[in-house]
Amino acid sequence: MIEISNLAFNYSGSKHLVFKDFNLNLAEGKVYGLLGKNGTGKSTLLYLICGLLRPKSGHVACDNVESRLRRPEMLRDIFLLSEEFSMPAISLRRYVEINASFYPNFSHEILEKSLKDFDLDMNVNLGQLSMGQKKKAYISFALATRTKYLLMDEPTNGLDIPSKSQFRKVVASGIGEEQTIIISTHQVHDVEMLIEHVVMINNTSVMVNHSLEELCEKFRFELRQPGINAEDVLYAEPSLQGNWVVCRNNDAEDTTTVNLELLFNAVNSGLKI
Amino acid sequence: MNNFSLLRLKNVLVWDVFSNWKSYLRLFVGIVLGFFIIQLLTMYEYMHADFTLQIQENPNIMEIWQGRVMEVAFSLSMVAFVGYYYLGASMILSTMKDKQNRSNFLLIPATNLEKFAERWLMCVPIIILMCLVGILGADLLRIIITPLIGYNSLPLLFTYICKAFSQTEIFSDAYNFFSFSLALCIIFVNHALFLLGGCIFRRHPFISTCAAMLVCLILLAIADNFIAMLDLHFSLDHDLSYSTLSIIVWGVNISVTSLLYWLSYRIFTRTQVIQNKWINF
Repeated sequence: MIEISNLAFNYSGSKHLVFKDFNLNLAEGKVYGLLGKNGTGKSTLLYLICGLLRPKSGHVACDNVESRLRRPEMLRDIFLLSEEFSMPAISLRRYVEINASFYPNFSHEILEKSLKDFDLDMNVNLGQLSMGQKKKAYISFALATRTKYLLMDEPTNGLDIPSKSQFRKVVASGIGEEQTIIISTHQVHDVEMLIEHVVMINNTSVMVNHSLEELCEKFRFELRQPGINAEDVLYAEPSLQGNWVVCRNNDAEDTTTVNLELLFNAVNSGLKI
Repeated sequence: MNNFSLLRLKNVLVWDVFSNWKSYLRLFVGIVLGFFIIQLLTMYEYMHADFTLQIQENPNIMEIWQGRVMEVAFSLSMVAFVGYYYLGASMILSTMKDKQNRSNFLLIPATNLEKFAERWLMCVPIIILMCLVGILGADLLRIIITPLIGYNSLPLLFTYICKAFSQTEIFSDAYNFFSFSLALCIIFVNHALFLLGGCIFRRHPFISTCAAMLVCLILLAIADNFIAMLDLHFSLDHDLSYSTLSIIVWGVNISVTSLLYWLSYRIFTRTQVIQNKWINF
C-alpha cells in the first residue's frame, strides 16, 4: 500500500509549495488514473512515491518503507516509466541482461509477448530506434519487471495512433492482479479503458478518489440536445452534436460509461463528488 | 535487508559500464592522448635531434640526454596522473548529469552505499588503472609512430616509471617517510575535496572545485595575515621526531579524508532527481 500523509513539498530554489498538507492512500491491485491540471504535481507525486524526490515534511511510504530512503527492497518493487527517459546505445537483449537481474519477478515471457505485440525483437539496437520505438521497448521492459507498483508518467506520449491501441492491449494483457498501476496522464482517452480508479488532485487536496464503478453509479455522462431535461444537469459542455452533460444517476441499473474528460472538466469547474 | 551486498554492487557496476560505456571510452581515449601529448612535448627535441657530430665529442651523449628527457617526461606524467586522479574524483556524479540519467541510476534497486561505492570504484581505482594503461598506450603509440617518421626512438616511459618507483627509499629513514606521508596526505585530502566538490557542484565540478579551493586559499591567506597583524604568538614544540610527525600527519590525513568522504556520501544520499540550483543541496 502507498501511504502519503501530511505531505509538503517544494522544489529547491522555489518557495512555491507543490504540495501542502496532502494526504492520499493507494490500495494494492488496482489501476489508478492520476489526473490533474498542469502544475498540480502529478509527476512530482510519482517521483515522491519512488523516492526520487524528498518531502519537505510529511511521509511517503510504500509498504511501510519510507520512499526517501530508497531502500533496495522498496526499489525492486517499484518501476517508474518516466515521460522523459534515456536508454543506452546497446542491444535490447544486453539491456535486459543488465537490468533484469535487479527485479526478482522479471518475466521474459511477458517481455517477449509485449515486444511481439509492438512489432519489436530482442536483437534491436536501442541506439538505432526512433523515440516511439524506444518507448515501446521501455514499456515492454517495465511490464516485464512485474514490480508490485508500476508508475507510468504520460505513457502514451510519443506513440502514434496505432501504437496507442497496441499500448492498451499490451498493458491489459501484461499486468498481473497483484500489481498496482498508477497512470498519470492528460491523454485520458488513451487510457480510459485501462483505468479502474480515478484520482484527481490539486496541490492541497484529492478532489476525486473513486472507482469507475462508483462514479457510474453516481453520475450519468451523456449527450443531450439543448433544453432537454436540463434540471438534473450538474455540468454541461457544448459540442457540435449538442451538450455533453454530467447529471445524477437515479437508476443504479442503468449506467453510462464514465467520460473522464468531461468528469475532469466538471470537477475543475466546481462539481463536488 | 543488508545495507551492503557484493552481488548488488557487481550488478550496479555492470549496469554502469554498459550504460555509460561511451563516456568511459571517451575518457580513456582522452587519458591516452593526454599522456601521448606529454611524451611528444618532452621527447620531441630528442627524437628529431641529429647526434652524428655530438657523439664524436661525447659517446654517451645519447644516454645522458635520454636520461634527462625521461626524467622530465616522468615528472610531467606524474603531474598529469595526479590531475586525472583529481578529475576522476570530481566525476563521482558524472553519470547523473541530467534528469533521465539521475532517475535511471537512483532507481536501481541497490542501497545508497552500494551506489556510492560503485561510483567511487569507477572514479578512483578504475581511473588509476586507466592512467596506468594510458601511459603504456601512449608509450606504444609513440614507439609505433616514431620509426615511421624516421625519428630517434626512446624506451618505454612505463618501464622507467616502474624502475623509479622500485628504487625509491621511502622507508629508508624517518625523514623520507615523513616527506612521503606529507605528500600522500596532501594528495588524499585534495582528492577527497574534489570528491566533495563532485557531489556539491552540478555543472563543471572540476573547475568549480578548483575555483572554490582557490577562494578558500585566498580567505585562509587573508585570515593568516590578520592573525599576523594581531601579533599573536603560538608556541610549537619543535622537538617532535619525524616518526611522531608522520603519525600526526597520518592521523590528520585519515580524519580529514574520512570527514570529507562522509560529507560526500551524505550529499549523495540526499540527491534528488530534479535540482534547479547549481549545487546539490
